[in-house]
Amino acid sequence: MPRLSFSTALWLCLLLAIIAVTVSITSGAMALSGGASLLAIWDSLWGTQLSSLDNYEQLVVVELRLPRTVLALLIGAILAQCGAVMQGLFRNPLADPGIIGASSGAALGATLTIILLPVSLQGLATPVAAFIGALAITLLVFKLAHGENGTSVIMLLLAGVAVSAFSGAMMGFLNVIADDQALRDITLWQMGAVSRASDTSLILCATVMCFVAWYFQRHCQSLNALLLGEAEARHLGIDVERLKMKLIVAATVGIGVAVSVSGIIGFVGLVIPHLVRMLVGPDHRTLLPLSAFCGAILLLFADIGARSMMAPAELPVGLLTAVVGAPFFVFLLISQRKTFI
Amino acid sequence: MLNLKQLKVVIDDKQLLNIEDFTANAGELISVLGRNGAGKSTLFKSICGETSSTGKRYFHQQAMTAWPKQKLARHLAVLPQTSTLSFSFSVREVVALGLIPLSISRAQGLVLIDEMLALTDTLRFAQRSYLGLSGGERQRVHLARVLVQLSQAEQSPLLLLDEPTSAQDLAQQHQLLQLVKTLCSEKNYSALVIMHDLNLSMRYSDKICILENGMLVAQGKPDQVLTTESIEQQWRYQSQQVTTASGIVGFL
Repeated sequence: MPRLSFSTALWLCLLLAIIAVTVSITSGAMALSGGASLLAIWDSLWGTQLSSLDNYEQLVVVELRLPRTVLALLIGAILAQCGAVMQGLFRNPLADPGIIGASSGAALGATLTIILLPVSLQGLATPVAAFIGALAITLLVFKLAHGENGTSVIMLLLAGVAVSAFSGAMMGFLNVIADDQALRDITLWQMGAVSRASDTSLILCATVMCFVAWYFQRHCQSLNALLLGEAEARHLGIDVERLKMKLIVAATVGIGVAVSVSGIIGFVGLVIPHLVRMLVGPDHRTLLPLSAFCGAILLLFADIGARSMMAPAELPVGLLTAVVGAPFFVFLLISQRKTFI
Repeated sequence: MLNLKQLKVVIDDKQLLNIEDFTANAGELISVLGRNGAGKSTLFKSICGETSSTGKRYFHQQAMTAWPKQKLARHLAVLPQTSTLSFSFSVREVVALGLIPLSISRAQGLVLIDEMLALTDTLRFAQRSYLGLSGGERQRVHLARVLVQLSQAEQSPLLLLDEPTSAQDLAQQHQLLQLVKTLCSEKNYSALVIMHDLNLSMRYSDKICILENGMLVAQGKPDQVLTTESIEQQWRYQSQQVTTASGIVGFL
């Protein structure tokens, strides 16, 4: 398949992003005029009075739909980039934060704080615990799956199954001892949603998104070299052990924060980098920024679907990404079957 | 320029390598011969510091461990026997990875890549996907990559080639070794080449060394080291020496 040039792909992404954002702002349970909704955001930014919406309608747009849209974009961008980097690190296109168990590690960490700590401390402690959980699990899986010739897919997937099962059991245990309020919080959060966009979580996600984008971009050439093999990367003058450690920590910061804010949203980190590779090739200099864009767009579309498919009820967005992502994963497995043994 | 002294590799109480003294000079193409498991690959790994070893490794009179990583990468490159690259880079992109340790402009880089693609006879499929190539073509693409990597060396660079001819057809085997030989004689490169084909080794090497059980059992000029007797002793094979009218010596 002929590749797209980076700039063409970027323009396409921008166009899609504009469409997605517009749809997300103007659609929802309350029927509001599209133009007026967009003007309401303009009004809130610049203090003008152009929108014809009532006050409470403006609130719906500015306080509910806008933060939710931004959060979906941020989480999607973080997850897709972390997925791309994990795949580069493992030198395997099947590595995904969800599949290798990093997400469930993060979920376990977050659940622990939700149950054990008072609500006042949770704001900061939950993302930190999620990060620690994700880091511990990723390092463990990395150690288990890593051999001299790169990563063994079988070990990778099996290790992922084992650690996910373990975290699942731990979370089940925590659910039993949790009080009613904590249980409710956990259940809602576990389903994976971008609807609870507080100012804190938005700022946290925006900061982390900028950090991972900047950090990964700095190391994209080293990641490219790593795809050749660890020995080859070393011969190119790269300190491979340090690079791996730095990138694992950065990626798990991203995953930890994403999971602590929006629960487990699987497969974005798997599907997006793969699609982008098919479009523009595996070079991380173009793969990473485009993955960020496409991840943001995909999650936003998924969220639009999640809230409109069974309106006025809402589906968890993680459910939708799994419905699209799981068959895609199977497709990848089939296409890679040869290389397993 | 490369000097190894008392270089030893011991893994699980088993001595895999024990080199008393070995020197590779600038401009020399040196074949490393030996039976399977003689320690040829271990020698390469210990030269680049991939296996832990004891002893001294000097490169341009400076201990190898004292070389900054990037600078060393501009002077020492390894061509692996096979590569595990499984992402669909184009051939040109693979070669461009050789630019990583260099600090040159984008335009200069592109010129360099084209030059090395042409030298290794890979320019005609530069746009194709690396994964679609044959084993021999892949190996030549990696050769182009390591040549890019060494192109900005301030001092004579060292090339370590692990069986570069194993997947090449007859014509390509000679072209490839002729290229390495030219780099050595004209640009003062030094090359250590692991080989199994004694005739190729005889024809292109300036020096041959033979490893056995991790030890250097012979080193010197090709016609001194490779004789029907030494071949029988090393490989337990009775060969026949032939000399062509143009003076090329070979073994049947």
